[in-house]
Amino acid sequence: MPLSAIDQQPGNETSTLCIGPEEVSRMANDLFSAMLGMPFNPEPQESTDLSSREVQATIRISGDWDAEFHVLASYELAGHIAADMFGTSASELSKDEILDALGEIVNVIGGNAKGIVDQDCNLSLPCVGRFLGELPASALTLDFDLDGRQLTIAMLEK
Amino acid sequence: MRILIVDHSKAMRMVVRRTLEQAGFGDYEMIEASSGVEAFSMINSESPDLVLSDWNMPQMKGIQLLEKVRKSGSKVRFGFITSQSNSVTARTATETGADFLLTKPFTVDSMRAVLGPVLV
Repeated sequence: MPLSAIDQQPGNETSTLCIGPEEVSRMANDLFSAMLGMPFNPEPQESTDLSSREVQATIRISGDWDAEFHVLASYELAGHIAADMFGTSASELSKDEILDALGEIVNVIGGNAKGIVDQDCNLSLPCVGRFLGELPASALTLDFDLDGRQLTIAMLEK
Repeated sequence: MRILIVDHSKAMRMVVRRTLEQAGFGDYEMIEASSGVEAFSMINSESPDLVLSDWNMPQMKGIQLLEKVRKSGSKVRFGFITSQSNSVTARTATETGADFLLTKPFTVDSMRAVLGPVLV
């Protein structure tokens, strides 16, 4: 597995800064641990089986640097994240509210990545929905333990 | 003191509101808008003392909201809460008339450090 996004496109001279596993891990840790106060293990685990992922949030960065970020989770974990953000139980939240929360997660990660790269780029709005069971093989895919559940963050540099 | 929280994400508005309370600003009245359009209307009708706006929103971006607010002659204190904190964002925000920029993810401490001087 490539260790950084820039390694996947060694000839792309516009990608002067790399977003690799360490940066993704730090961004996720800042988000889940520091801001939301959720138990998060910043040490990525080997990504294997995505069959338990049911929902997905995606955001695109376009411009001098082009990339996509995906956050995948089971619906139960998405509800758990939303419950934390809303300060209530998942059972009291609608599907739209749960997906809104997951969309905001990928929005923060994508925005942070854009900030790290610091090039002339635009950040799309997050897109949320059902995970269709597959990510591009070239994506940098990292699994994290979030409060005892598996969360996947994937980055695909275009 | 009235604070207007502007974010298209209801989840994030809840996180901002809770963090404001934890940072010691719970006594302030907090009102919310889910879009730049709604926020502009509320700035005129509700006269907030401070606007905390997301940057990346549909229809009207946060920076477009600020431009419209300043063009209208309003001098309301205005800050961005954004994950896109880089040199371009900071310069654009400052040049357009923003008072501060708070980076997402934020913490109780960073919220207090940025807003404390603004809310005195």
